Amino acid sequence: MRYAMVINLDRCIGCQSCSAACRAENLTERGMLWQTVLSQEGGDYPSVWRTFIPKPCMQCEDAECVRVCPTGASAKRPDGIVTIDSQKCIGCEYCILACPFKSRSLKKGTSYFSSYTLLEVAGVKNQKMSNVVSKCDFCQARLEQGLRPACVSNCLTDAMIFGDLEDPKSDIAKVLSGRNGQVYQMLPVKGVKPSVFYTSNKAIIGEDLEVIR
Amino acid sequence: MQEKRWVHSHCMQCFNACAIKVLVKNNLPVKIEGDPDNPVTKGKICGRGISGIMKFYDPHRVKTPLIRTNANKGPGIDPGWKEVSWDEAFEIVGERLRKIRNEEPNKLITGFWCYEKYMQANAWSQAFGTENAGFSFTGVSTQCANPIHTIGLIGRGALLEHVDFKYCNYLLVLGAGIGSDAFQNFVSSAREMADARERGMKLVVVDPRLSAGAAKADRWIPIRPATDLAFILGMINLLINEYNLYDSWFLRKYTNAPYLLGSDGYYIRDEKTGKPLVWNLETGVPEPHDVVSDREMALIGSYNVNGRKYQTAFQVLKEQVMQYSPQTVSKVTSISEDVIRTVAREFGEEAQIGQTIVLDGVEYPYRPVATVGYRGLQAHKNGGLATMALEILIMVVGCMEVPGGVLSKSTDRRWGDQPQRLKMGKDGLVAPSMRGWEISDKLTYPPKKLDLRDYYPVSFDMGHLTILSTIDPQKFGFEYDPEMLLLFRSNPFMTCADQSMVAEALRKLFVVDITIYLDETAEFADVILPESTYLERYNLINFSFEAVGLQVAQPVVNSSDTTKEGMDILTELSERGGFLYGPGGYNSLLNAILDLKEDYRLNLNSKYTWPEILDRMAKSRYGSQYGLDWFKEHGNNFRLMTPEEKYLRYREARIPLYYHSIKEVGDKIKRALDQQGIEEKLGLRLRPEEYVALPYWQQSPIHRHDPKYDLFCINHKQPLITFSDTATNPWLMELLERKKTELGILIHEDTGLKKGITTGDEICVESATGKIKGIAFLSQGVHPEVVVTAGAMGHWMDHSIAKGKGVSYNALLPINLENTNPLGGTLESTAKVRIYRLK
Repeated sequence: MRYAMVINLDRCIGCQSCSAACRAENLTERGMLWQTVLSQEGGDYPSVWRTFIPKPCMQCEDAECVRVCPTGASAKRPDGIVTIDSQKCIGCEYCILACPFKSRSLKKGTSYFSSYTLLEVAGVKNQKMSNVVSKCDFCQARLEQGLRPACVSNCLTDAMIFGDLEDPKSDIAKVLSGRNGQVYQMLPVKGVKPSVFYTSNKAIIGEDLEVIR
Repeated sequence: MQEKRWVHSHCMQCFNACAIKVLVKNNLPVKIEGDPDNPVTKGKICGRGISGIMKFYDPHRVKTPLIRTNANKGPGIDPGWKEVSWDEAFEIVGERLRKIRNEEPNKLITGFWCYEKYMQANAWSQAFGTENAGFSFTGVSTQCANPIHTIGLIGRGALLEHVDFKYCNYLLVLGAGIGSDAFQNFVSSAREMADARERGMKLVVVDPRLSAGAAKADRWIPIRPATDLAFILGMINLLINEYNLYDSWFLRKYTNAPYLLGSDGYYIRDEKTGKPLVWNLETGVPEPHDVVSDREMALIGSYNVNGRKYQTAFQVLKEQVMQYSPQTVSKVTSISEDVIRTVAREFGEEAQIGQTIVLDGVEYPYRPVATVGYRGLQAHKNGGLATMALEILIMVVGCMEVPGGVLSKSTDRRWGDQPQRLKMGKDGLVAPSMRGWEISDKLTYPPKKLDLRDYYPVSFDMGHLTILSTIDPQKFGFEYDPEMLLLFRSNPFMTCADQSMVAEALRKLFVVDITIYLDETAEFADVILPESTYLERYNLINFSFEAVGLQVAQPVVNSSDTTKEGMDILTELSERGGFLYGPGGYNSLLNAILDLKEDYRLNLNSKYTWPEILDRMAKSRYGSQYGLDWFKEHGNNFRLMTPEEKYLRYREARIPLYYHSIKEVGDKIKRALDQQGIEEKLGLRLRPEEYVALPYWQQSPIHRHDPKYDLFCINHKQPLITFSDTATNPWLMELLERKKTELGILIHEDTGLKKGITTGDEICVESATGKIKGIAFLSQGVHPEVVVTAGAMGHWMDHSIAKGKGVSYNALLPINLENTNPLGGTLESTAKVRIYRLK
């Protein structure tokens, strides 16, 4: 089993509803977003292109973050999700430096919620609030309830598909195998085998994205 | 054990009222998601909708009624707020209302921009008896695209336009964010447009900046601001006069294009019946429009009868647009002749004129092209004419309210009623769905309406002009001096224009502000009445394009706060002001506007809470078992519209290709102005030149050459911003901060280079009216003559999140008659500016 995501860049309009859904689901602290949307543009006026690229954690098969973690806090689950055990994390930030995608950040305790009481109410107050690294985990807690990750579930244009890459009957496997056009990944040159794939029918779609097949 | 439940509601952070469900734990909201039980939004919700929870928890909310103790008003001057009880606050305001109502009710101005219930709130103003009701001061006339409301409601019962994404193959967007940025029903249309594009729909976006929509488009066409009118006139010319791509069947059957006009531009009428005549090609004589079959009507040509020359309306259009050659249009718009020709030809060819489609056993014309224009097209001095031109373009290829074409949002479904066919009005045309725009032969003088709508009745809102006349009422002939302003959810400093004029007007008035924050305008208020957030309020509404029925909003918590539902505040004020009860009172006007059936009408001598009123509204439509409680449990009773309800709503009645009725009003006004000598008396030029039957190219004042101000500054909306309101939300502000362009000022790279400006520089944008500061962001994705700002931000109020973020673009716009478009009512939303780097 390997959880993965396919993002259709031709459908994404860069509205950041996925980022907002991620924030509401995970109540990340100020300045920390697990799901961002890159906006890249190029070309000369008036032939200018712009691509919006949603970027969750890539949940790499050969995850650098897991390799460099000195305490074993970063680990890979059998379903492919890379997790962080906040009790084991010592905040050394090796993983932050190692991640080619800048998917990780250190909790600084800069919560919005000193004046906004939401965190207390939501019952996540007891989590370690600072000096631990955090990142997107494909919404583990939602998966356990049979739900899709918050970003996927709330994508206004249904640009994101989520599922088990190794199940040939899953939507995601069907989309990838049935596709005539090209499939992209971010920075394949790093050789870490991300679990996030991108599709597009456009000629130029942005920096760091390369055709993998 | 934690109590945990999901509550159905709808969002109220913009006009669209999208369905949400709210997770509540221990009587506090902890998460908002889209409501999957809603067939329109299907469980999705935009970033604003999700982040709305932070509004509820905002520590900066005002929670107690306040009165001013310092008479001196100004930015940064402490009002000396004193907390008072609700009863005290109500009595202070009530006493003032009673006094004004006895003296001269027009001395009260209301600025009600309370999104989902602005019409019910308007009933309150009517009951009070002031002519100065509606959106005065609020900046609706600078933030919205009003012309479509007037042109659309007069022509075809359309408050707004939409695209039939299911069948559309070619969409031309002019200055609108449909399906990609902020636009009506963003949540559902984002999905619909993505589906349509994946199906192969071609998207062409005309916009001075590379918007999100333009980034997704097959073709981005940068245009000089406020010249979309010329572009459309050029397209109409090519389609009719060069490419022969127009739908003559549609024009004869569904429009007044074949009606005969005399040399004065008025219909030639049958002597006996007074009906407009058409030329019968079979009999060779003019006959009343309703006795000649569509096939026999002449669409084109000039005809002589008894020595007099008559032309069909279409012939007049055909000749009038000849002057808009690709060469001429190219000079005005900066778009190349090639591109103008290509788009016109594609639009005409993709219309598949003559094709039909069968849906549910009924044959409809099939015209899979559409065009939509929003603020970029409409919010200009010439925006009324541009909207008229767009409607005509739609009629020329026959894609109006047919499968694949341009659909409309009518107002009939808003409170849960079934969709209605458009009614037949005068001269075989659709009866206009807007009231109060036709005038008698005499104008009211001295004028009553501070926004000058006595002279400009074909406008939806001109609330910025109220500021002008408040400062100097005598200048416009008013015999009274406005005294009080009641604002409901509005912050004119951020959303209107010329901030020094706003300040001057607010200083003159006793200002009562129903608000949830002590914002910039509140700083000038005399009484603050704190409103609850939308997660604590009730509502029932339908703002969707495609559904019939109602959806609920309800408090997700049992609030013990001291804030109140704004509508309950209005009810209380009407009681204290002496106009809640009896015939003509607020209750009786609510009965009328909500169209309540006998059993559910409000008793004229009782006082009702807002949820009690909603309960009656629902039961009046659906029967006693479907009251507010039913909706609280089920969320909505939506069903999607059938093709029969959606398409050809006009059917038996024609739509005006030739806006005869607007010309009639315009001519009457001009005659009356002359006869009554009003312009002479006031020393002002007031006549609405734009009240014509066919659009023509009109320059905006911003197009005049001015060596001092060499650039245009435009402003756009985006899906994380609703006017000035959402800037206070920390989650949204953080998302905006990640998109550098949205809080900064976007400039073309070459322009920046010429001015010695690079990305990251602090710059000043200066117009003749005001200055704003911001951080420059250089890009190739913008017209070289244009600088771009987003939203209505740049707050200076004491709010840790909003303060100092983004720019307050409206400060650049002058408030005057010259920049006001009387056809629709918008203020020119583009400013003429210069930019320079700050040290």
